[in-house]
Amino acid sequence: MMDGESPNVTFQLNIPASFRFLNVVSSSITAVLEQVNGLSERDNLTYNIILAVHEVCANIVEHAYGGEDGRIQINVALNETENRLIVDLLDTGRSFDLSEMAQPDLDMAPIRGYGLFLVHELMDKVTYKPGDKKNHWRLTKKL
Amino acid sequence: MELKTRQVNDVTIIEIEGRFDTHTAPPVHELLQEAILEKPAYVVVNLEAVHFIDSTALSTLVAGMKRSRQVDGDLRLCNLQQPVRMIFELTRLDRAFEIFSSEVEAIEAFQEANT
Repeated sequence: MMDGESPNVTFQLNIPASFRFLNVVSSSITAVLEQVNGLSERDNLTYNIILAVHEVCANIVEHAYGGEDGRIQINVALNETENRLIVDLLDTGRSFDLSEMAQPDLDMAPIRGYGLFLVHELMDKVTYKPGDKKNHWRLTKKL
Repeated sequence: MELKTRQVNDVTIIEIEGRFDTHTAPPVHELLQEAILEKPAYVVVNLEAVHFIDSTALSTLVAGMKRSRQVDGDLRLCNLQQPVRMIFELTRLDRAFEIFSSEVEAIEAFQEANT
């Protein structure tokens, strides 16, 4: 638990949908996790979470907005009572059918296709709800 | 991200420092393209100072490895930090690449193959 603080912390980021701002998201989530005491395998856990969030953001930049201007809203909810981190990501770009995404054949060392595979492997739960106005990713990780 | 390249005998060494991701991968891609044009296409990518690698960086390295092997060369990796190594294991790329614990070992492996 964070020293002298509420066990539950939420914060929001709203960034331009551009690859060059994705390090801001990583830094922010890393900073929050650094304040949580007693995390096991802190470095690996932090890396796994920031990589999964980064991959979703990169997917939004590349596919939802396709290089056009847009924003990504990121809501981070740290619930230390339940030892859980939930990251919601919202965009107003094009939606897609997550179930139609092909799984990479890892035995062939493919050149592409690692992004969403990593998101699913690194987080405990991943949901995606396409919407007329907003698409909504939710990534959940037990701490 | 910082990028340095140097030559040790026939081997091109590429040192990457910092965040290796979709934003910083293009110059690495260009450098690999140039290195693989050289014969022999022996490349070692030193990841000692890379603390973050994403799927685009993986793609860049896999593409470089495959291109170099097409011309009887190879792209080898060394000095992976533990969280980065875990991503290679998760994607099974630890089996596709030859990964060394030091730059010297990676260079020597090229030279031993030629003797």
